[in-house]
Amino acid sequence: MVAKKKLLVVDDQEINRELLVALTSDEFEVFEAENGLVAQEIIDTYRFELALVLLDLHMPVMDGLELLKWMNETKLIDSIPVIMITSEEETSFLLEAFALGASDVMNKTFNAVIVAQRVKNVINLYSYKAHLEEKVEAQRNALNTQEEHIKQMNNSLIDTLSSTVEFRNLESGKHIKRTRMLIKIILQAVKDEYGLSDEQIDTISSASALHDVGKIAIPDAVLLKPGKLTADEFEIMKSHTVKGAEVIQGLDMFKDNDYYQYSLDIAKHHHERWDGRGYPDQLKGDEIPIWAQAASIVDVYDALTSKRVYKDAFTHEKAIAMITNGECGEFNPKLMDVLKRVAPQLKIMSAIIRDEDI
Amino acid sequence: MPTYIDMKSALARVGGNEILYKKLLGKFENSIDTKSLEEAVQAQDWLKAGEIVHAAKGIAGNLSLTAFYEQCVILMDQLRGGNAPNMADYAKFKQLLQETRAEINKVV
Repeated sequence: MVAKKKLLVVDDQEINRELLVALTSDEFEVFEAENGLVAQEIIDTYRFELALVLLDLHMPVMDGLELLKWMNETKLIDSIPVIMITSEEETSFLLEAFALGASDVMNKTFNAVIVAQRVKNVINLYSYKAHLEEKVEAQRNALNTQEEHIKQMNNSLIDTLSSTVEFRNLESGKHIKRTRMLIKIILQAVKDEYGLSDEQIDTISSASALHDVGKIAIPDAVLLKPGKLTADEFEIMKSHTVKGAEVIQGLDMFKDNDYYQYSLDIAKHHHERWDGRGYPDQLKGDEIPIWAQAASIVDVYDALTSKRVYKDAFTHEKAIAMITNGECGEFNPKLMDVLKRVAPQLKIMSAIIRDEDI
Repeated sequence: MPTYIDMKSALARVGGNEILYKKLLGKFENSIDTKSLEEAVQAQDWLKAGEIVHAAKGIAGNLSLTAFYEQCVILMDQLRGGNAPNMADYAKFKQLLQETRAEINKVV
């Protein structure tokens, strides 16, 4: 047998309570309270097990409005519907009762049919509402999961695209992974100064994966040449910044996204230098977006500490020294301070990623 | 003779349950605090008197004690907001209450 739903009758007149109990006890397990205070205890005991409260307005000790206020403060009114029991001269209180979340009103002179139907209606309405809210919540969760999934898919697509370039370059895909991680470490250290949120830093970190995507347009003869590049070859090599920007500009669907701007800036300007002696646009100082500045430092650090066809890997300490003493071009002095500060972190993270299995 | 008990309307109200109705009628005798009402009237505490008449009206309505109920309505209209009632209506209230109780005793 299914357990009966619980119902609470709150009225100071015993005869009224008894009548309501008689009219509802076939379908419900009915509790009685002769004032708001007793009702409060019963509600507190059974909470969401209660399907409905029938509530009188005027009662000694604690009246109906006081109980409603309490049900509002405790938010219980959101889950337990209340029908007010009133007589016609109490209409002024009714406005307040409705404002406090009462669902319906029933005349004090009860009628068996009406009581049963009103109670049923309000309970159904509330469970329908709860059901709807559950459904909306479930849909919202599904959407969030989907959005998260799409985001992950985008990230992995972009990483894969970027890695193909790296593989062609005879490097492992780990350069991308390290760039993402190291750029995060540097930007975290200047986030207040440059007004960056954690969310922005996450987006920049993802967008940094595309920094060398333009290398896809560089011929093997130049990209894979083991020896020193000629001046012409170097010009071709430098064009990977502009080519990268062109590839990204082709990604129309991203245009409304922060991601688009970050990846574009990083691809185009990760070889600019603080003193304007970088390429392709010879931007100076903070004309270079901070995300591109961070990307250029990380790119140089990673190139120095990795083995290349034309060179061995430098140690972490050597790489940091080369960057900070200007051997690799001039960088933002503030970022140089940061770099010294976060160097131990860079060393650890970079080593961890390097040692991971591909 | 006034309609003291409207049995037909009362039974309709309780879904035809005569046993329940008679049981509730039996409780009417003690459900109205006439002693406190008289004290309130003597002390001219019309708010207090109004509360008691209001309660009486609710019960009388539920039990379909028509004549007494109608007198409750008249008296309640006067007492609302703490105003003094017409003492003749108060006397009639008491008289109808007494007569209604007598009628109930015949039925129960």
